[in-house]
Amino acid sequence: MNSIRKLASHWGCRAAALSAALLLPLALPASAHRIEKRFPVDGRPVVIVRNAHGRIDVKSWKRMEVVVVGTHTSEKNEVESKQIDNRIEVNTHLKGQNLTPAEMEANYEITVPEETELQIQTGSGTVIVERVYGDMTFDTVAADVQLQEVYGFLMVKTIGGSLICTRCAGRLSVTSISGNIQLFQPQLDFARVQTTSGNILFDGELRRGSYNLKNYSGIIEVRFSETDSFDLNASTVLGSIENLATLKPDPRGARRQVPRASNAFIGTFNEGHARIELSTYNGKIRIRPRD
Amino acid sequence: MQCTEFESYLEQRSGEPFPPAAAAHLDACANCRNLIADFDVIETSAAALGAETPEPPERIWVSLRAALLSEGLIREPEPEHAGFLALLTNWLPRPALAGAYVAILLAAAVLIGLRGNLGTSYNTAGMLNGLEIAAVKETLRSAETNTPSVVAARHPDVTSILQKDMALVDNFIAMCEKQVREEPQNTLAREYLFGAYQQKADLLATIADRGARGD
Repeated sequence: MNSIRKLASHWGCRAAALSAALLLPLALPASAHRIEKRFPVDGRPVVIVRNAHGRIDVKSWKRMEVVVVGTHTSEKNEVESKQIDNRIEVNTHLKGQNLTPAEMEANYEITVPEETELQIQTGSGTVIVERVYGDMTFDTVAADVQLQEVYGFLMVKTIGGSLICTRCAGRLSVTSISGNIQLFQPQLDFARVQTTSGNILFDGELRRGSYNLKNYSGIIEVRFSETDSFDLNASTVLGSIENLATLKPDPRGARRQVPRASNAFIGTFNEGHARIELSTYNGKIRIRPRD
Repeated sequence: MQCTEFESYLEQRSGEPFPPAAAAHLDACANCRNLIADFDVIETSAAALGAETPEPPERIWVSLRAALLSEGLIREPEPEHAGFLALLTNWLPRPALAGAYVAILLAAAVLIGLRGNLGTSYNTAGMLNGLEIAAVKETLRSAETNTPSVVAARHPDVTSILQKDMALVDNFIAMCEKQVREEPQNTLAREYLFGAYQQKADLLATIADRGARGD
């Protein structure tokens, strides 16, 4: 936890500089509508965003203030935001039916205190969150989600969107149907990741935490280094497993449950501090040393 | 403990008493108490399911809907502010939409009921027998019949993803069912089949839920 706080402090300095840049006037097309609202908050605010299509950027700063900058070019949607105590709600309202994608588009740049809870729901586009510490939920159909240096209980539910999670900490739950999921340098205590046809990449230290990565098809790739320490349980129904880690039986002598009629690799690498379960129906599992 | 943590704990719970942190949260949080009450209603209705899929009594729908509305999980669509998936449901009469919700909730209830009975690990989910699989399949089929087509979604990306992924999940269900028929003892294949049914229920619920909320 201390290391997280140190990281938070370090990231916070950089966040302040970035936040200053964020407040610069945006270069917008002449016909664009730009709405900026400021909400003073105390404690840990909850920011709820609901959008149909567009880009949502969320960054943090040291101030106890939420700033919402919404832009849209069409007259057929409008951006609304309101505050109820410490809860900030941001909504895109679509006016009329049969709108084109351009008429639906609204983009947001939102600056929040470092400790903020987020609830973001969007149809398509992109969601980017950097250096925010608090519980977060993301619910998208086709929108891609990028999280960087965030900490908390992170819940991502998407149909076809992808997730890139860089230096995320805390607990992570991801479900997707066709989205790809990539975890870079995670510092998670727990992660449960499932995608039906997407690929899953885990590239980071494996010395702590519990990871459950599962898909039906596609590739699950885990990259490890010689200093990592993990218990591995990899299984597949009809797929293949390529394991380049030299595993040994569990030093604690624990018996593992192996599903019947499936192929599996089970064993311990070094002391087995982290726990990683990989499962695919007919995809490929690769456990490879990091380059 | 936050509500999200409590819900996560609830997903993994298999009948044991609440630990102190969860119990304390439950005492203090009316929303989570309502959620537990909703699950009780769902499990009760799931237990009543036989080989056929009966129409649920109106009071179940009224109770579920009221609970979901009070939780803020669904709300009445605002005609002047129709959402990006509103076209999914705008052409449907309300009773049909209600039917879709109930069917999806009952599909979820079947899955929850089975999970509650069998636990969540692959070796227990793998114990689903043929009759249970048939019941889940029939419930999902009914739910799909009552769920509006995804063709009318507004944004082409959304339409494309929903169509593609529904086909994808259907394909995996067919593949897993074939595998389970050929290898009834393959517990991992049964676990995947169970997961594919859950995905289908989730996908149908997402389509109906987003459409009804008007976003």
